[in-house]
Amino acid sequence: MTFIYEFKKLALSPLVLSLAALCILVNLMFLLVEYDGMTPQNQDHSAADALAAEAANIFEGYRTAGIAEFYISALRLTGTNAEHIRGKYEALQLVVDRRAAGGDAPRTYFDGQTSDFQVLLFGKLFMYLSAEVGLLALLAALLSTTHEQMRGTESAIYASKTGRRVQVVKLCASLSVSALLSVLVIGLSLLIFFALFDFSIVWNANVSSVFDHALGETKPFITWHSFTVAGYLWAAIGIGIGLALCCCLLGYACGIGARSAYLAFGTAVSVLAILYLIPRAPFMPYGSIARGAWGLNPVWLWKSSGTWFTDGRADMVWAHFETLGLCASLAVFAAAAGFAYRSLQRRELH
Amino acid sequence: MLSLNRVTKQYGSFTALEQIDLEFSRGVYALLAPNGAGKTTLIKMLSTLIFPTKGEILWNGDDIIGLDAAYRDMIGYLPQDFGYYRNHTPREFLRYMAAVKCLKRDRGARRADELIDLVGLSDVRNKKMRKFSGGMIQRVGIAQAMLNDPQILILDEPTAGLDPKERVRFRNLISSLSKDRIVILSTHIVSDIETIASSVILLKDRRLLTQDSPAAICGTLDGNVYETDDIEAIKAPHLVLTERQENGRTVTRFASERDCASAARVVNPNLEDVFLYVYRDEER
Repeated sequence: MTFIYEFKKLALSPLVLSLAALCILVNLMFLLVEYDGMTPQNQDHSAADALAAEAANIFEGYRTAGIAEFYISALRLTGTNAEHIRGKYEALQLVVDRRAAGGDAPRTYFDGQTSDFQVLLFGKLFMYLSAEVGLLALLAALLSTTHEQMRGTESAIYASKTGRRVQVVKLCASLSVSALLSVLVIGLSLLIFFALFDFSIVWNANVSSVFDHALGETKPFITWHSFTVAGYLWAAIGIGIGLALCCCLLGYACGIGARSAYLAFGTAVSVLAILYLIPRAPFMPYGSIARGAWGLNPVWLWKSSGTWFTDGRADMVWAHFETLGLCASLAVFAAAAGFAYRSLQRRELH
Repeated sequence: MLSLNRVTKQYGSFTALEQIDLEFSRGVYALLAPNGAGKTTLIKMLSTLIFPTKGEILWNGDDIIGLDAAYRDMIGYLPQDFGYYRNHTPREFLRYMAAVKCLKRDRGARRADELIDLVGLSDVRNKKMRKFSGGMIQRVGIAQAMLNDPQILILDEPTAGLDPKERVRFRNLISSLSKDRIVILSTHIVSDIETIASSVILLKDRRLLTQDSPAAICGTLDGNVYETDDIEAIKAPHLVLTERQENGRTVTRFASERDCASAARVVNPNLEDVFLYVYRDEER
């Protein structure tokens, strides 16, 4: 019963709803501007393009060691840091060899202009979407946890039978609303995207074939697992929603830990800023375990959204960094939320 | 029975309450003390919002902290600054509070409607609370406290900010709710409790000064309260309690430990006299 009330409080909150609507509106505007900016040739791709697609087996004879050496040289890496980078690309070589052996010959779609679509969908739109749903989830959790304190109903509720456990119900409601908002914002934005840009011919094509180059780089777009475009999109949506849930847990921990809504918001933003800034410090060089581990945090996962399920460039030292990072972030923030709740049980309400 | 055994509450080096021993059975208990004397601290400990630094609070022999939800299921609490959802109607808000108190949906809805009628808000049950007066909000507050039909009703300064008419209405309401339960009421307004309290608890210097019936407490000043229209004539040490105008003269009510019967009229002490006399240090 209480869950339904808490869910309704959040889901029908004018602030949350209007922000979600604003996100969708901003995405619509962004996509319309991008649509107008694309050349007619880009927009007018058709099944004929696919039929005329040119086989170009980029995996055949491809050596990932070249990527490793490029990063090592460009970033002047030495010692174990360089070895970590080499180790990662050695592992990626196995994937390339397997693809090549399987005759997985990529084809060129969209008249060879795939990078425009790739940058637009996974480089820009998904980055915006991840940020939007993350912030919405953070806000939902902060609103939920600090709602009673802001309304002055905290003491009456904490003295009720449910007591401080109402915050557990609020966590469930926040997570549910965050997931729902994420589905809504991502779903509607992608609906707009696919209404403007016809992807129907590539849904079942291999994502490495469709997006033949990594974002902003000349190397191939090599995923650790073989994905179709549709599969990759679903997986990316999953990571995006997962990151939103991380933000929700962070918001919950801050909302419970801080005694004021403003302080809680400030704390959450500070935590996100710290997560973003620390890897830029000199004590976190590229290729180091420390940078790799820190790079698993939600902010860096968001920052590297265009490379999910691929090597993750030189920032990441491990394969499947997005899955690893998401699991680690969920575990860490869930622990933080649990710790905050435990401290609430012992905290006095003055 | 609810009992406090040697309860002390400290905030760092500051002691808010010290070695408080109290027992509550059925009836209305009034916690009477000036502002800042520790009434709210005691009330919050009884509501499990804060915890004793030393000592224990027991319900029928069990520590209330250990009883956890089972204890909170027995209490109804109206905080001093009762918050509410401005955009909710009383009915919506009470249904939410019923859910928080783990009442089943049907029972919660029924209790909400019953209590809205009881506190006289039937006409506005579906109106948003944002336009309610302080008295109406306090009535919503008492209704939410009563939702679970509590064995212990804890009211912290329930009449603060109410006009005299609202205060009278509130007193009558509390009196009607006090049957078969413990009502613990904190206030610094003597008239709030004079007629309804079965027991008055006075706190002074962070300690329990006394717990007794209003009559017995008033009896402690028997023969020591006087009235005169010529206070200048009283040479014995005395404490001026109140003044009032009567037939164009100022009648002064005062307390003195000396016999002033020759210069003034002995009157029956009331609770306000005791309050002013006991807390005279704080008043100066």
